[in-house]
Amino acid sequence: MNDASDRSLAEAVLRDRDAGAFGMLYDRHTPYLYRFALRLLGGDELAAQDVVHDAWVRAVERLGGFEWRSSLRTWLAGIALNFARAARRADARTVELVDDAAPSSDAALDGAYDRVDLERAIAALPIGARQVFVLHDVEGWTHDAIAAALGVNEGTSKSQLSRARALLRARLEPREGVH
Amino acid sequence: MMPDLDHEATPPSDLRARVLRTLRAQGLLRPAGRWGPPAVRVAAGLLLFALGGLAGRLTAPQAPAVGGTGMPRYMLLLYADEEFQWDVPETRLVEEYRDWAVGLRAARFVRGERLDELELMLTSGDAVPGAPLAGRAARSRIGLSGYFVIEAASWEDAVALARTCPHLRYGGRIALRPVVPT
Repeated sequence: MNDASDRSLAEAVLRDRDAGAFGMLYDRHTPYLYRFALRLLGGDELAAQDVVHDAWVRAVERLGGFEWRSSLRTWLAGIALNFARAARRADARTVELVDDAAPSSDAALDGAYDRVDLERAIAALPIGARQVFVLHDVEGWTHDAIAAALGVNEGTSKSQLSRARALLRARLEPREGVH
Repeated sequence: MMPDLDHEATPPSDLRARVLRTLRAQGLLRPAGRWGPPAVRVAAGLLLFALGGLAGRLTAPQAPAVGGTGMPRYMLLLYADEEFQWDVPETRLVEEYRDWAVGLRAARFVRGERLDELELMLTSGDAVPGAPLAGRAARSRIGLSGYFVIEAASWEDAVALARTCPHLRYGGRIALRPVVPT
């Protein structure tokens, strides 16, 4: 049963309220979801745990309506994204997405940075830029998918990505000369 | 090119139990302890498993007899030492080990027993064996704390199943050994 598909496990959860099947889904997808939430939330572990918890509960509530047009993981990530955004909307430090950020170089980060430094730099990004950066450069989402998920237009997604990359580059630049 | 962000951050082990509690409280999963008669045997066995002391021999409700599925058997030897999270509430261990075993019951879970930490190592040369290890002394060294027997289609399948055992998440180790047919 361990190698069962997501769909067969989800069906067991729906049909039998099978905790064993749910446990397998949980173990399969939660490490990814947790890291995803952690990055979206700037490293806030408690908030990320809440997001993962709420995302799983919502997912099981709505599992019957999931049509399997995407992978289960993508669907779960979308739910987690919504909860992460809601968590940040409740946070006084929320910075809204802006439309007027001028795009800069669109080149991706070249991976020359220390991973821990990069995680910290991502966590320090403004929320709007961070969300787009995580979704696009870390998770590989397209701009149209990001725009749909965040309720912004593609231009905003692209400009936020450029902004995020510029901020990260500026933050990490001093490390480049240290070898 | 995507940033090289690897996978160090791991969700805390108690998050799983929290999610399961909520889902059960909302009726989205079956409540613990209401698995039906066969599964109750599994739960009861694993209760003993987690509580230690008495061995809780259990037989999976749908597990085949020896050789019933035609699949080879493998033994998961569960080891634990001071790295193991001994402070984890027993109720959580009960829940997670049970969930794991119940999840395997469809074809593969055969039996599992908890071993008391009390251990006396004997060799042929011992005129007077030393005192058995127990308690903190037992936990300061890696010791065999229990076992599961499963049936799996292949060694790779058995490895994949063993990797899902909650014992690993709590700092335990698992030695996987094929059972030789006799």
